Amino acid sequence: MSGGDVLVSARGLEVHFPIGGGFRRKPAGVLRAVDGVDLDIVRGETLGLVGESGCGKSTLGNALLRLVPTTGGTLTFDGTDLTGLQGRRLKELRRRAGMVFQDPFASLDPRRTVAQTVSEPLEVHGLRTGRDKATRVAELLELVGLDPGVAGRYPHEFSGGQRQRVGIARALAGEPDFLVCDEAIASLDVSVQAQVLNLLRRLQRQLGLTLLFISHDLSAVRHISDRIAVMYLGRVVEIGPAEAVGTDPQMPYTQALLSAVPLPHPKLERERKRIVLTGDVPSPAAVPSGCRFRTRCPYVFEPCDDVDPALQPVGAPGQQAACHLHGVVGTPATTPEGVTATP
Amino acid sequence: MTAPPEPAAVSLKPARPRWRETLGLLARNPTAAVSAVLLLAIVLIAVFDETLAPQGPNEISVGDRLQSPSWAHPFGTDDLGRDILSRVILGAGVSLRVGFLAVGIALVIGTVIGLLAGFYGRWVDDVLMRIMDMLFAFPAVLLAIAVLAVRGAGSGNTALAIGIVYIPVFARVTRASVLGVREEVYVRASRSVGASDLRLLTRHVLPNAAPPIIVQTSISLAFAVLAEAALSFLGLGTQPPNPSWGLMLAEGRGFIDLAWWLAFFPGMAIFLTVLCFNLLGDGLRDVLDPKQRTLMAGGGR
Repeated sequence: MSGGDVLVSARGLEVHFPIGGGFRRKPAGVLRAVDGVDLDIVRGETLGLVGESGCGKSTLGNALLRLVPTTGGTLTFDGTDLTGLQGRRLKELRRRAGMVFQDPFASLDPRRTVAQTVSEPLEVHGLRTGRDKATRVAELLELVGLDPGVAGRYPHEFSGGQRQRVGIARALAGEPDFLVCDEAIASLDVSVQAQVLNLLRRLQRQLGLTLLFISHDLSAVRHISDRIAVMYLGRVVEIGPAEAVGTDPQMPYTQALLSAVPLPHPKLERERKRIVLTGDVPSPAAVPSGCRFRTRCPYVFEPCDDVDPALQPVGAPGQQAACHLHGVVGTPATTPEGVTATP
Repeated sequence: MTAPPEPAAVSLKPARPRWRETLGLLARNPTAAVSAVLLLAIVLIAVFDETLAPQGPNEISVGDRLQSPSWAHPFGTDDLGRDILSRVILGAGVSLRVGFLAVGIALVIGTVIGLLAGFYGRWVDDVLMRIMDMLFAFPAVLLAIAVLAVRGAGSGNTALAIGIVYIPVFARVTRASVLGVREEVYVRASRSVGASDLRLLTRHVLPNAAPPIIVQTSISLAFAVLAEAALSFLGLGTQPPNPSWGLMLAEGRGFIDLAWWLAFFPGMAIFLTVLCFNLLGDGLRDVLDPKQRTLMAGGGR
């Protein structure tokens, strides 16, 4: 991987949910929301995570904070194993890792004032009390570009952008090292999106944060990220420097995603070639054998049915893609052991 | 962490407390406001019953038996010559005490059970709610009679019996409300900053799940007053000669064609109290509903 000091590391991470089932009833199936993700997030970088709705990117973000239980694989944060973490150490993880949510109208408790919301991490972790707490809340509000005078107001008195700033202030209150932004700008107006995006970028530099920026908007992700990871059906299928993934993708799925982004220049826009994928994303309850993208891939060929492709270095330095077009590497669908085959 | 060098402390207190906004909105609903004022009056009468009653409730005066309403006895007298007005006033204390105590028991236990069942789900939910179903399956009066048969009659035991009957009602209302609130993003957001389950339950889930519980409290008070009257009517609640509205109703029944006022005034007292609690409950439901609330608050500003 691209050198540096790894802060968050996932290996073969799985988050499976049982479908149906209940009291003395067996589940009817398994939903593979996250299904074998390998991912390293380097300290101080901004990693963009893209993919279409339902590909498991939000579940992955939630799993990194242990907000959903993982069902397999390993997950470490700054060298600490997160699987099975409980009590005090889980609480400490949640101080060191914050989260900004998608919908700022849903993520703030309507019955608590801005100050009560922002100071919650301070109270939970016993960081500040009394006057210090009030001072710290004022600092945090200023940090995200809000007037500290609004601290006593309720969320319904604010616009979406202001609410999202409150949400960011709350996430930063515990002085985290790592921030997960789960579609943090998706439900904002376009003009406000840019403001919040720039705020996040400024905070990332100012506070030396490591950022996981989850979005379905490839252009926003390219704007803010150092590296980009692309998810499809619960798996990271391509990862690499933002420049490389954004201009020269090696995985057919990423190519299709990229071709859907409108270009700002009219001439280029007219010449833009669109790769339109046929069919729908398969259900995460019935993942195809072999390569999970094979049902929609325009280049599908023989090994795609049988061999589940692994990430392999291709293209630019640090770039990796899971695709047999670059050589068949991966796990045959029928046997459990990992095997490397050659075409 | 670097921060702007301006340690201007802010007030952490809300600019305008939410309960005052709620009261303000309630005051603009005439039905609810009148009900609230009447209930306040009934509670005050119950508190100052001894001073307000023109006579002792058990002062027998055989010469004044079955007097129809007059200036001397506005509500008339009963078959033992006791002043009905005085007995209705003192009965208010008995009825309301039993009502508040019963609903208090049901509210506290039922809400805790509903919170735990709704928040934790799975087997906690299954076990707790099946127990509630069992309790709920008993006919209410039969269950109360069983409790009173075991513990003996008396107003304290009457309250306990009615309280037990209403525990499942509060448990169900709370659970249903909690099921919606626990999925809210702000609950997950609080968890993401490290809040404990206890903190989530007390600071976020309960306050946001509270409106239906508050409405249920108001309506249950009405039912509890009725239940006390019913049990006293059956001879299981308040024991004679103590005055209780239900008991007076039962005693007056024998004279209904001879002296209507014996049953009429305690009956009206029950009717008025129950009606006010119900109307207040309806008003609270409107005021506490966030959507209605925005509409009403928006129109007023």
